[in-house]
Amino acid sequence: MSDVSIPNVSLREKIKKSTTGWLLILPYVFFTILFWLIPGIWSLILTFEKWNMMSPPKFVGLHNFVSIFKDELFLITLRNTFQFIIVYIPLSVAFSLFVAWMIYKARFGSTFFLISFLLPYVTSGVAYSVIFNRLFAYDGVVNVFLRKFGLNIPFFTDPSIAMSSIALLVVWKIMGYYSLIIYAGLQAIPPSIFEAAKIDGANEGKTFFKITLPLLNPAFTTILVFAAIISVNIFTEPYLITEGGPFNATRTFVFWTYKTAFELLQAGKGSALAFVTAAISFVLVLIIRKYVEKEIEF
Amino acid sequence: MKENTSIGMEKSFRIKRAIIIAILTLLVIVWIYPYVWVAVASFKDPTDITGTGLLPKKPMTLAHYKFIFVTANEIGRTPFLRAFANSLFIAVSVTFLVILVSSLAGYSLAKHDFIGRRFLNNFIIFQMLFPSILFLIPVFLVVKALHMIDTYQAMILPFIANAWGVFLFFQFFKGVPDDLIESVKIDGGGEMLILFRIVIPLSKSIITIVGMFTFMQRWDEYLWYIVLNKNNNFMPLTTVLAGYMKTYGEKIGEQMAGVVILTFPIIVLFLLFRKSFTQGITMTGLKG
Repeated sequence: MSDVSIPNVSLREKIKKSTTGWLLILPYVFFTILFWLIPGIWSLILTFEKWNMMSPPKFVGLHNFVSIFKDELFLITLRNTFQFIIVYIPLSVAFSLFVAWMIYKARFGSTFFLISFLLPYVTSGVAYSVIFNRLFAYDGVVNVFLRKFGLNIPFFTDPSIAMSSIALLVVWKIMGYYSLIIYAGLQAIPPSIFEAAKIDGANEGKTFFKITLPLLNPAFTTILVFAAIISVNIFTEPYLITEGGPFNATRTFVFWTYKTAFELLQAGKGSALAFVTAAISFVLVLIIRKYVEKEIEF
Repeated sequence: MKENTSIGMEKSFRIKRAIIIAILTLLVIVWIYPYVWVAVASFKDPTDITGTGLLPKKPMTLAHYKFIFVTANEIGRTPFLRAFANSLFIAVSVTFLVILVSSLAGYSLAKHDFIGRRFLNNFIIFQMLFPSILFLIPVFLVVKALHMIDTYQAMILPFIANAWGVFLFFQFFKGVPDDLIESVKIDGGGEMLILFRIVIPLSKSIITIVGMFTFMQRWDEYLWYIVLNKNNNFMPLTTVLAGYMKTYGEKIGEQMAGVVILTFPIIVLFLLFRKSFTQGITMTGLKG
């Protein structure tokens, strides 16, 4: 709005006035061009090239994308991502809703509980990969404990459950973060709404499902968007704990991108994979926006 | 009669609350237990670490810390002290620069009228849509072209332009009344005076939020470092600890001592700034 120039002000004056504004934002613009815009464009060009980062690149058209979709790893990686999602999203959302609701109802020590559950969130991915690699090992605390009941769970060595085990770790890490978002959402609901429901004779269960849950829609949308992005982008845990195995069971798209570009030295296919990864998370976010997000008013 | 039921309700309400608090406490124990276990294990005798018992049966030892700080150096591995210094230097530098660059940019977008402002404003929103995986390979190539492989610059400079940081500062400065800024101008104050006397002191909470999250992300970074670093001397803590896990699988105590060194500073920081931290999450979380 203020961009519209006032007739009295000459262009020269406008430029003069612009100088300070530009000087202040210049560092940001400089670093954005160097480490965002140039790389972004370069990456787009690379998707059409075959290049080992040494000899001159060769134009190959859409070959990189074709080779990704033809690769048997594509379906395997997609399946792994799906397995992660079906464990991770329901568990993390349900659990954090449960915890946030309890903290809200307890009305006691809420800061203490919120902070305690947030501790794993601030712990580095490397640190907690090391921790759980140990705790969930064959001779780790969890299995030694389970063996007292004749159980032994090969968390990371059985291909059919390895990805779910990793999803479980991420639930442990992220739960406090999602709970905090839901808790803030609960606090944003005016108490008068609950009062009104009570006067109208609605019982607690009905109030929860008919009023509380729908009013938490913004919080749920946020969490689901975050969860979708994480599901497609996990790397540290499968890279460190399972190295993508056993039998490719924990290969993720970011893992594949990394391997392709920096171990197989295929910069073109790697870039194409990065775009496929981004596209998948983009589609998931759009689906959530379309089917979950609703306008609400208090 | 009426009083009776309300007392009864009060009682059942109290019992319910007590149950909820009990469940929450139990969950907190499950969530905190791994940390306690790690902290204790890092001082335990190696033969004492496996098994479910938390309390040590044999005398505690500092051997694991000695290994990662001293012995590692003698056998040619990156010593933890060096790695710790690397991590700290990188995270502090990025945090400082992100705050500086983002606050200037956010202030400019919010309070200055210049040609191209609206374009830049939209551009920053546009920037936030692109996930970082898209930039892993090409930023590596840019860094390589600039001959910055195995340098601190490569671990610092690519993270300075932070659209999220600019956006937060922009949102904040939009709320600062123009009159306040005008009054300093009338008193003959220059742009720098406005910035350092008014704008920055006012934005302490936003500085803490942007700073906390930036520091944490840099401290935890792993993927970029394994792509970038070939020389041990420049390796930050995350890479060094991950290397220990891969090569010294059987040295559990040493790994746990490493986890303590990597985790402790961030937890202290988190507890110190917990308020801005939770504020930051709810602020960015609910905007969605």
